[in-house]
Amino acid sequence: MENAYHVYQRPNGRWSVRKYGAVRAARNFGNRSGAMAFGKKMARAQAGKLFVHQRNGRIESLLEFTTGH
Amino acid sequence: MKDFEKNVFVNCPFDQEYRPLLHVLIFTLLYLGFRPRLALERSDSGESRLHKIVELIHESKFGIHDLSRCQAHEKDELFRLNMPLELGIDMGCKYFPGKRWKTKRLLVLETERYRYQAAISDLSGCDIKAHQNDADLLIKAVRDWLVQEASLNQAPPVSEMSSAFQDFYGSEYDRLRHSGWTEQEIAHLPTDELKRNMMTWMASR
Repeated sequence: MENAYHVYQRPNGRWSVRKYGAVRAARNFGNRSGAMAFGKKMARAQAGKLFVHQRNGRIESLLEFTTGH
Repeated sequence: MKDFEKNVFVNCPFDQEYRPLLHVLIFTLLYLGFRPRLALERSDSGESRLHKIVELIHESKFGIHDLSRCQAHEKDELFRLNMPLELGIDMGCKYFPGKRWKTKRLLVLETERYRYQAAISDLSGCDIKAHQNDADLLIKAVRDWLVQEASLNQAPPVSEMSSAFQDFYGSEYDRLRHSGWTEQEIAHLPTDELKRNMMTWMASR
């Protein structure tokens, strides 16, 4: 899971992208689309996974990237 | 009474909509070194539900009661009374004779801050925490309450627990998917099984 990232919304409404295992967010965004674009870019670059969470913690989707996509 | 000081009776909705928050709640308690006790943990059909609940309350110093379902969502839908009933039993224990019962501590949760007052006006004046169906706000409410009521020293910050929960939830979802579980099966994974998986995951870190 080293190459996995999480996209989630914070209580203040902002969106964050965090690498699996890290405590702090890698980047914060004002909207979901910015966070999704950055999360996909990071996960794709490492042929990793991207978990998208709802505010209650539920996993809304899991995107998996392979080398060359 | 074994583990009385570490047992936390969890009285909350068990529906699919609330399910992720229930998982957040269980994870937070385990992360802080407590033992979540739920009516779901035993499935002996011969045992009455109320008897089981009274026993759990009897064994737990702490109680967390989420009244998020005090309002029906649709016309003619009955709102659920089990949670206020169980809160009443737990609250009543505090007034029983005996030192043990006076040490009991309760946390009442709701989705919105003042909505409960219309449903249970007797609770007016009680400190009720609103989580707005948000995982981080729920973790904060439980963490801060235990720091105060259980005198926890050096409890980890909300950000650490929130990140750990996301990592667990993600790795568990990924593991189950790659083991052939369907979305439906993952959505209905028994809570006690998930609780054990949380403990295994925490021990492996």
